[in-house]
Order: sequence, then C-alpha cells, then structure tokens
Amino acid sequence: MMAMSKDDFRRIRVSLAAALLMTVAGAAFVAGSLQYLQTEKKANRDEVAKARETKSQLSRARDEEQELKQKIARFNQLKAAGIIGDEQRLDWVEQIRQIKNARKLLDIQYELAPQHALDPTLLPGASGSFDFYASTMQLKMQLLHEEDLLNFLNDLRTQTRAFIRVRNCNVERLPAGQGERNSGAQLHAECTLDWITLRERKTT
Amino acid sequence: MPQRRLLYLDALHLGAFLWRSGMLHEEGRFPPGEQGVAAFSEYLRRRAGSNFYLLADIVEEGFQLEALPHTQGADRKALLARKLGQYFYGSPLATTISFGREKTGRRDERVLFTALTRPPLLDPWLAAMRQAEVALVGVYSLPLLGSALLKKLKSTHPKTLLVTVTSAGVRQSFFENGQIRFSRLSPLATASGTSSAKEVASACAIESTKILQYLLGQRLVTRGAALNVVVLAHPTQSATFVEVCRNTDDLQFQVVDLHELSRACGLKSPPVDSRSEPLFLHLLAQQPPREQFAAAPERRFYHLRQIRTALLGGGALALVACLSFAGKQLYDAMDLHGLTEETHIQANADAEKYAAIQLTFPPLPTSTENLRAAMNRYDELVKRTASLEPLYIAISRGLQEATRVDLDRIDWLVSSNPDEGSQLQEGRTPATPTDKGGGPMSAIAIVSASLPTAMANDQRGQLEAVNNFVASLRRDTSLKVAVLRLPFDIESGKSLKSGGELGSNSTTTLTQPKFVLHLSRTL
Repeated sequence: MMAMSKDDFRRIRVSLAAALLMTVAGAAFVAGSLQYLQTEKKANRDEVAKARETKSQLSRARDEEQELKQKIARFNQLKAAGIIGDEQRLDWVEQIRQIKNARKLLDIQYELAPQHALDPTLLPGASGSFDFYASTMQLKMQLLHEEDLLNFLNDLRTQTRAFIRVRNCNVERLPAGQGERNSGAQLHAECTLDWITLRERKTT
Repeated sequence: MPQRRLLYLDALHLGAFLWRSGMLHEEGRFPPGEQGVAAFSEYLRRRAGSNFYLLADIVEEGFQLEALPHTQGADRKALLARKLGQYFYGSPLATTISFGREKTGRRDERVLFTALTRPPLLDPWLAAMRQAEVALVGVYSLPLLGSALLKKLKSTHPKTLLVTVTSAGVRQSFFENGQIRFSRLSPLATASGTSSAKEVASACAIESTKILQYLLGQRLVTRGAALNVVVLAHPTQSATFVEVCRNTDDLQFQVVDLHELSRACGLKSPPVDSRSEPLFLHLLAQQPPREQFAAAPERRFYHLRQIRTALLGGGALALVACLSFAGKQLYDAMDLHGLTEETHIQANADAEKYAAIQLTFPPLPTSTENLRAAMNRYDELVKRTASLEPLYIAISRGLQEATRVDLDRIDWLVSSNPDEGSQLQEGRTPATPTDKGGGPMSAIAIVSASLPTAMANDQRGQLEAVNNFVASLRRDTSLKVAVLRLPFDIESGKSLKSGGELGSNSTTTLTQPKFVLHLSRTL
C-alpha cells in the first residue's frame, strides 16, 4: 500500500469530510431518535400511571363518596366546635372561668403562650393546605381531690373551642397542714396543655 | 460507479475503448510519438472520471519460474523485489505470480517472475496518464488473462498452448495446470489486418512448431506426448485454420470458434476477424487479474479514488445504518405514541366518569386532597393524644390491694419514648417530655409513693409491700411497670443504712420509706 502524502490528504479531504459529515449526521439521527423514544417511553409510563390511578379512583368512587361524606361531617363538626378557624382566646378565658365556677374549683392559675405552629415532632406528616397551630398553656391548680383535675380537663375538652392536648401533668400531695391553710387544698397540680386549632392557608 | 476504459497497446499504436455492459466501443487510436501522446492526453482530459486498464501486447515480455524458500511478510517482499531486480533489471513494470508451494522436499514456493522488459515503449503513455491524474487500475499483458480464457474453455489437458492472433501478431502462451508459464509474440510478416486467413493460419501452425522446440529444450514438455494447442479463429476462417493446422505426433490442434467463446465470456460485440484482442479486453474489464505490472506511483490516483470511494461508501453505509436504526427507533416511538394516545383517551374517559360521579358528592369545604390530608392529620393528632384517666384508674386499682402505700406524687406525660423518665435522678423527678415524634405514643406515669413510718425498720416488709403494689399493677397486661427506686438499696454494690429504732432512746429520727415506679402504656 502506498504511503499517503500531504497532497494525497488534500485530495481526499472532501470525501473525508463528507464521510465524517454522514457519520455525524447518522449519529445525530440515532441520538435524536433515541431521545425521542425515551421521551415517548416516559410519556407512556406517566400516562399509564395516570390511567391506572384514574381507573383505581373510578373503582373506588363509591367508597370514596362515603369516606368524603364522613370527612365532610367531621370537618363541619370541628369547624362548629371552633377547632378549625382562628383561635378564640376570649372565649377560652370565659370558658375556663365558667368551668371553675361550675365545678367550684379552688385556685386556678394559668399562662397562655403566644400561638405558634404545631411542633412537627409532636405531629409528623402533611396536612395539605391546612396548618396546625398550638398555644401552650402552663396551668397550676390547687385541688381537693384528683378528680377535680380530671373533671376540669374533661370540661376543657368538651366545652372549649380548641383541641386540648395535655403534654404533661404533675400532681403532688401537699404537706399535712398546708392544705388547711390554703382553703383545704390537698393536692397541687402543674400541667402543660396545647390548645390546638387549624386553619387553611390563604393562597395569594 | 466510474466508467471502465480499456487501453490496448502494441508496438504500433495505442487503442482506447469504452467498455459498457459487455460491449466494446472504440474511442481512439493513437500512434506513438509526440502527436499521438498529445491526442491521448486530450482524450484523457475529457474522460478523467474513468478507471483505465492498460493491456500491453508487446514482444518484450519475460518469464522466469523459480522455486524459493518459503518466506512471509517483509522478508518475502524483499526477496521477491531482489529477484525481480536480478531478472529484469531496470524495468519497473514487473510482477510475480505465486503457483503455491511444492508438495515434497523443502516445500519451496514456486514463483513466476514476469515483466514488460521495454519500459520506454510504455513510458510516454504512462506519463500522460500521470499528468492527466487519471485512475490507472493497472498494466496487464495478454498472458495474464489467458488463465481466465482457459477456464472458459474448460480444458482438461494439463499442458496447453494457447495460440491467439492479435493486431500485434501471433501470440503463443504455454499454460501448465491452467497457469501461465511462458508466452511469446511473433509479429506477422504482413499486417494481421491485411493478411489472408491462410497466411495467418500458416503462421499459427509454424509458430506452434517453433515454440514446441523451445518447450522441449526447456523440458517443459516431453517428446512424444502430444501438446494440446488451442487456436482461436473467426468462424468464417475456422475451416482454413483446421485445414492448415494439421495434427502431428507432437501437436494436437483444437480450433475454437472465437465468436462462440466471446459469447460464452459475455462479450456482446464479437471480433470482426480472428484478432482476439476485443475478447481479452473484455475479460480484463470483466475480471481483471490480481497481478499487474504497474508500480504504486502509477496507480496513485486509482488508490486515491479507491480511498475516496471507501470513505464515501463507509460514510454512506454508516448513514444508512444509522438511519435504519433511527427509523426503527422512530417506528417504535410512533407505535408507543399511539399506545399513549389510546391510554390518554381511556384515562380521560375514566376521569369524565369519575367527574360525573363526583358531581353527586356533597359540596366540599375545600379540595378533596386538602380535606383528606387535614382530617387524616387531625385523626393522627387524636391518636397521639391521651387523657390522664386510664393511668390514674390503673394506679387506683393497684392501690386497692396495696393498702399500706400512700401516693406522694404522680408525674404524667405523653411521649413517643415509652422509657421517658425512667432515668430517675435523686432530688428531681422528670416532668417535661422530651418527645422526638415519629413512633407510637405512650402515656407515662412516674409514681412517687411512701410506706408507713412504722415499716422503717422492716425492710422485708417494705419490699413485700412494694412488690405487692407492683404485682397488682401488673395485672393490667397493657401496663408496663418498672421500679425506679426501692425504699432502700438492696443491691450488694450499694450501702445499706438502718431506719432507726422506734420507741428507743436513740435520737435517730425515723423516715418514711419512699419508692418510685415507672408506668407506661402504648396508646
């Protein structure tokens, strides 16, 4: 085979360029077609998944109707109970006073901290466009009997316009004689409560 | 595909032919000399895109057969080049034909060295071709094409003398086992075109007798064994050839019809007389032999054309392959697109049905997803919330059987860690949960209690009272009970103190035995 000179290369350069051009064009066609096929495959996968979901949704439609009815009823119930919506601190204060009077409870002292988003470690998970808020209350009570505390907490749960979650509650027997000096109290209780409400995020 | 053009060179002229679909068209006839070469150059200039094959039919052609030690690669190339130089010094138009290795002995390779030994005869024509930068496929001679012709004749004789008439004269080529061994051209006394059939036939017969003597002298044939002589003759002259070329003890003539042979070879423009160069030119165009005489520089433009063709062919092949592959991918993609469309239509139909069902749903306060998410999370909140009562009731039931136990303090909390508060530290009871979230929640109560002072020195009784209380609590199987602190340290590794003597004169103050329990229940 004859060795190629520079002049020979000059003479074949057009053919070489054409061959390269054809190869590159072919490769581009292959790459383009592969890309197009991948896009179509992905579109097909997405569409199949969507169709499966729709079919499943359709087959579950009647069950879902029941479920939604229950959830709507629950939602309306919570809304009526004031758990869904802005917190009503004034109502809460009045309700505490009413419970105290009704139960003839001894001294009740409390401090309600500013409202904050509910700690996600307490309640993990997502809640769509609804946010959970908590106002933490430090509660101190003098009790004749532990039942006073249980009744008070039960009344809070059933009568106040918030969801009450007791975090902790420490009840201690008062030393003998100290109770008589303090209106006959036998026990001292210190509790931490979360007053939880939820409301929908406003979309701008 | 470039056109094939054939050049026939003899001592008197250079003929140019176009070969197309088995037909030969004469395009020019150029005499030696400056004028002829100039006309040839002009001819080449107009046909630069063709591939040219040069067939030399000249007297000056040499043949040498030699058995060489078997070599390969560069060694073989060098050996053959040296031998060619020895046999045909000064002629660049030389080549070798390998006849294969011998069956016996050292198994040497038999190589025929052949050359056109008068380069000046070809030089002007080759120079014109180089200057015109046309693609010269190769330089060939008639003997190199004889093997192909004999194959068409299906000759079974091991040794054959092929006698052909051309414009240059009478050529006699000797073949052994179908391979060329020797060839000789004898110019006719008168021009072959003007010679009578009888004169040509006589020349064939005479030259055959002459060459037989040479072959006998070279021991290429043995005396007494009749040599098969194939003579090609025009059908109108066959009778004359048969009449003149009489068989002898040493020569057996076989007059072959040139037209019939031409047809068998696919030549559609048969020779007009007994001159057979059209047949040889046709064979050259149809199936050029591997061996040819031109050196690499003479074939440079043919090589460049081959490279260009290979590049374009390779590129085109790559393009076609890529297009085929891409086409298959596109076909698959289109197929998939159709399926996707069908799925989309089906999904839309299902969605419409679902939407129709949704219309029957009660009005939603928010979107379905948000309602579901909010209510599910609220349910989770409810699950993670506990009231004090269950643990208080459990403690109360335990106390019914442990009458000597008095409660001092209950620290109640909710935590995802069921052991929260079990690491009790002296003088401090944990009351604040350290909730990490995530797992199931537990309600926990850390119960601090005491026993009557009267039991201060009755450690066994204290232990029994605590154990009874724990046992009664554990009757509730959902409750996990652990003793965090006993009224006294019973472990060998800790110090044990007395509780003092009741009613003795000692000044020691009796202390109430105290203990701490840890209760937990998973919500």
